[in-house]
Amino acid sequence: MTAPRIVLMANNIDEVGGAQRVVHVVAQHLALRGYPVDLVGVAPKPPSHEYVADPAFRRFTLMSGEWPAPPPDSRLTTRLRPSIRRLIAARAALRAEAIGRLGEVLADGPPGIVVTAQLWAMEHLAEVPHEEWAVIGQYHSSFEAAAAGRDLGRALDLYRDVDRFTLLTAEDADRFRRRGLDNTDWLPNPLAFWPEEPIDPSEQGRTVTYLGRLSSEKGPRFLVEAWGLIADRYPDWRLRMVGSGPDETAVRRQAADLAVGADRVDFVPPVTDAEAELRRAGILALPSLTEGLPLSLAEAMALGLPCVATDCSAGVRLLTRDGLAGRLVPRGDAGELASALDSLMGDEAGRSALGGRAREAMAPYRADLVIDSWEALIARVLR
Amino acid sequence: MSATRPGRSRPDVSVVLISYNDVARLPRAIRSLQGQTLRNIEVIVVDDASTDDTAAVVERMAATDSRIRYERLERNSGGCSAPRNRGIDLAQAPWVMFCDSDDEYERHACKNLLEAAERTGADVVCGTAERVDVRTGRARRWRPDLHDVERVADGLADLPDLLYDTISVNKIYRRDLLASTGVRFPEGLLFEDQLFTLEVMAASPRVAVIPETVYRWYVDRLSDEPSITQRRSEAGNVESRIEINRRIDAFLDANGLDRVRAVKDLKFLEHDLYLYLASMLELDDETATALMERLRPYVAEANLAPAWQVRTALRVAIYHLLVGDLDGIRSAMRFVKWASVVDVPIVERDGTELWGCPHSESGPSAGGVDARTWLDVSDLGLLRIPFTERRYLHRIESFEVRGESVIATGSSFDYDGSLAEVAEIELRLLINGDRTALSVPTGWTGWAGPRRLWRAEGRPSDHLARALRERDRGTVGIALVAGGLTNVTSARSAESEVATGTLPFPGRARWTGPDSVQLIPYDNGAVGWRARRESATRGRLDRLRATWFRLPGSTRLATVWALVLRDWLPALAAGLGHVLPKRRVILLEADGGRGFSGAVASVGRAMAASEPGASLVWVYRTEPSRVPSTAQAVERGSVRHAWIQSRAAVIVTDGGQPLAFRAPARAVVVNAGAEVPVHRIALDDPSVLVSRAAVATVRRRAREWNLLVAPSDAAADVIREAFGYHGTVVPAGLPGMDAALHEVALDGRSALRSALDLPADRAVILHVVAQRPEGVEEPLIDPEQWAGRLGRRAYLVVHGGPPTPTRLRSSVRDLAADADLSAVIAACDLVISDYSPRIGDAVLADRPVILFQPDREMYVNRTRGLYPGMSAVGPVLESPESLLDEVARWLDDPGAWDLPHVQARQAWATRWCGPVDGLATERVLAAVRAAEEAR
Repeated sequence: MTAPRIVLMANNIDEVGGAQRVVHVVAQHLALRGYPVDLVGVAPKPPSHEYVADPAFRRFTLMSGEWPAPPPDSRLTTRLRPSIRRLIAARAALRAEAIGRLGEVLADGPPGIVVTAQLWAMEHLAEVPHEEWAVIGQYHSSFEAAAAGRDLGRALDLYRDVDRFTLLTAEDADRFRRRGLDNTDWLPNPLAFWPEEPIDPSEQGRTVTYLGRLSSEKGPRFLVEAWGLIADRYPDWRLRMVGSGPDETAVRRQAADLAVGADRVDFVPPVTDAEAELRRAGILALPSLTEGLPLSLAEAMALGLPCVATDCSAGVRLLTRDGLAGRLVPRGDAGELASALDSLMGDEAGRSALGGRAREAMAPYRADLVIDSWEALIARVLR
Repeated sequence: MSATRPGRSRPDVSVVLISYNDVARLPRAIRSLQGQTLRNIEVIVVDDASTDDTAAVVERMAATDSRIRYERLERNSGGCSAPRNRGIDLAQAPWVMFCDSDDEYERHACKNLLEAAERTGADVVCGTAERVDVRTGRARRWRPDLHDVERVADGLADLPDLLYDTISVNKIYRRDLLASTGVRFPEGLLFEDQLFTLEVMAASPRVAVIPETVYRWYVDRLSDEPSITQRRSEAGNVESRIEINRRIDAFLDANGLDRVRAVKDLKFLEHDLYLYLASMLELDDETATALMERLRPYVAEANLAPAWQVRTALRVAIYHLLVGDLDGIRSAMRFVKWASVVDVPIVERDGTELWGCPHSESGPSAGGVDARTWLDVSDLGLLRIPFTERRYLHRIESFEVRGESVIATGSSFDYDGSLAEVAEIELRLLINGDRTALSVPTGWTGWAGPRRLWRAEGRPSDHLARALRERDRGTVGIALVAGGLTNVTSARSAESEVATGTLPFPGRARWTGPDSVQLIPYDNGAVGWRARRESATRGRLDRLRATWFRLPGSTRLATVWALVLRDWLPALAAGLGHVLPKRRVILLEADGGRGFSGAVASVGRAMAASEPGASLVWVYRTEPSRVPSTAQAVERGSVRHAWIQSRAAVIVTDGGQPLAFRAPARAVVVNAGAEVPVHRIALDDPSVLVSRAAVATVRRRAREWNLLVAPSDAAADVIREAFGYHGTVVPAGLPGMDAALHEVALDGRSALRSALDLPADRAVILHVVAQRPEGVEEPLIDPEQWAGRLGRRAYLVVHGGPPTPTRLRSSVRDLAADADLSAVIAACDLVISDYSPRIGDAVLADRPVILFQPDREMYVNRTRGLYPGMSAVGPVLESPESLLDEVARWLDDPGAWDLPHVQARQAWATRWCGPVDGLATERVLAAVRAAEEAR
């Protein structure tokens, strides 16, 4: 049997972000294994980031312009304002354009499998006739995150009939199944790279590094608060906050107001070379309130970096092997985070042992192994 | 989905779809197979010689889908076995499944079962079926306990409970296995599935179970023509059932499957036999007697040891079957089927409670066991059930409507001599089983043996007419009043006696309410009622209006807002506060308009009492009938609500006021709902922080308060932080507990206990379960286990969780979700809780506390989180067994058990709960007065 055509859809394929990286890695690996792959983003989000130097797949973006933010509220008085009416019309036009364009992309070759990496992508696919296609739906966050917002209801609606609905962990798949879906499955995300050289523990830096958006759901304020509780005991350590985001001002202010350790907090804009940043770090801290299968954690662990993460999703538990390969703390609790950091910062041997276990735990997420599972999934879906 | 792809030679799965004269539903079944996500299947439609155009329909569908094959039996076989066997012969795929023409496959059924079979190496895989009510479309999983998690076992002996999974359509079978063992469906018998599935599973080296739903089984409970397997009165049905059981017994014995045999014997009694015994309630005497005589020989020679594992009343029914007493069977089955009503005397002999039928004194023994042992029903504890929890059998004998009046007669069965002390009786129309919509004056008229007779006569009272607008149906019940306590039990009736009953609706609320109330007999003998609104004189416009008013107020308001009001109503209401003169109105709202008790009520009551002329108004969301009669009611979100609010002097809430709420000028807004912070709340709760909208909600609500009541200074710090609240705080204590603490101080705990109808002869233990977010299950105490082990020594009161079976009422009571817990907390002997803020109330009342936290790690890390130091009040237990052990230890010597905890608890109380003087409400009152003066 010849390899079926794969159309991989994401909300956008331009931005610097976890989901984007995953779809590029999957697309490239499948293409190199002989599948005709089309990578489709619904909306453009310039500037476009190049994840793959030499893509073996085709790229499409459905909308001709960026997707504008929704109106501030749905009050009648708001909706009657001319600018808002234009905005609503523009969004409708873009959506119609995307749906039409998706139809063309699907028709541009034989039918095969559509993979929708995100819900919004599936919402567009649902509007296009695709009876000839098999569909794999995906959700890249945890059940808890879905249940906290509107995603749970959307996923239950959109993914009820797709051939397979894959989550990132078995636990998430089971919890969606218990909500009435009978097609759940799980498939972890692949690591973008597998560092041949782990970090040398003796040369590790003395920084606690935060790598991610500065927004409330990632919990940076708990890390800063925790830092304030222990900074005075480790005068040679620094806290390094890498990233930007809506809460940046607030977090900076919070750090500046710390009684101790305020002078040892560095704010650094987002970096493209995460590996270099991680190689300078002593400990990676992931204080998130919600996560799926966090890639920054997986990459740090693959390098052999000791990590402290909040126990906020089945994905984090899976990666850290229930806390054996990375320290777990309850989410939203600065005190617990501080004591976990404290115990690692004061114990160099412990750090290096934890780093070793972390790297070992990441071996199953090497891209070639995960892509093997993808091929098995594709074969099962087509039966 | 797409049709078959060319180039496939052999299908993965053969589905045998059998049909007989069912052309109306067959296409639905076929389409469900065509739509399977496993595409490579074949569908073998085996037609049991239908006389309709089944052939044409199937062939038309097969013309566009080469996966469909059609096969016709030469002559009708009259059952399911022959067509299915033919299908097995024709199947080409390595795996076989079965489907009936009136049902459907779930879309992923074939793929899930096939993949499970391949993954586990099993020869048979069972999935879940769901029963779909054809009238309502509602689906329920069939036997969910069997298929809850994925399981793999080497043979049936490892999973004997699969004996209960007796249907053939929810499974996939390895065809080789069917061929090599020669297992077939037995032709000429009903219940062929049972023997077939048993033989297949017994022959399979490996069996697997998956939790996914695979089969949609359409059920029509009200059909005029019940399916052949449900016609239990028919001779052939019973004989088939017995024959199948004999064959199963022989098969199990021949293969030495003793463990399976033991499970099967139990299953026969508690499942198969149960169905026939229950059907005797509805059959006429002659048919029922015939049925009884057909069953007797098999039951008499069956293994009766499992009779002591089935529920007690069923065992009593089995005894009466063995001695051939039809009335005795019916009495016992009424108890089983009618939610534990008792219609025989319960007599006490030598410390045991006996089912007081004619055999209880000197009846024949059966199965080698004497009558007294069969009829010992002590474990039901019927004589120990507190009065309000008892289930009396009230029968309506006649029901008549004359003009605007009702005349009804009936009787109440006095099973233990307690009815003689009941002074008052009342016929009521109930909502939700306990609240009264209408009542008819009723009185006792005499005795007929153990039955006490009554007569209801007069116009139904209309004082609760507003209840009829909320919910337009319920049941008819009888209320008994004795010693200040009320027992309410649904009344029962034979169908003919109430079929014509229609109550005129009392006059006052006729414009907004229904025209009349119709009585409906239910299957189980209970009598339902439904409000009728279709009167010929009212036009469509009226119906539209009625529909509009039946919508929840919030929906109505949302609709209106969407049109006009939305932007300016709250602002207007707040603004009007400047202009309009203040009235001495105290507006109360708790639990978003669903609660009418606790701290808010306590503060409200005290304010009204201290200020004659002030009026008290409760905000309700859907159920005005629950508003205390001393207060007015206003619907949440209505225009009247906005109007009252703008003129109110004091508004007391528990902090959950509507989002659009703006504090009216010059009013004092009190948040009296703050509890002792046990689990994380508001901005400390990580799940709130995830959503910007939720954070904004918390902050916006907190902005509108002028006064926050906190239990203690320490609690105030936590709460202030959690809500981002910067206004005035009164560390007052827990106002909701004041009344209960006073009662205990004045009259003692036992007086409060008897007022709540809690037993005095046993310990009373309250179990309060904190609510989990959507999708997270609450770990609960298993009531069966509790009743079995501790029921005689302790009485469990449960708040939260699913309803407890009525037969456990002698040892377990459920409290309604909206019940006022304060009094129960003060009256009980021990509180078990996980993370509920009510732990604070318990500690304040100096009750010992056991923390039962089976999901502690999950709760602390991911569900919600706890504030530090919340475990200091008592021992923490994580498994149900250790909890029961701990409670047993406590029961042995409560005082000694509690010694090590007293000090820690008192320290905790001082730090978190505030003063124990029962004056919290007074302090709040003083603070409100001060705030008012300051304005």
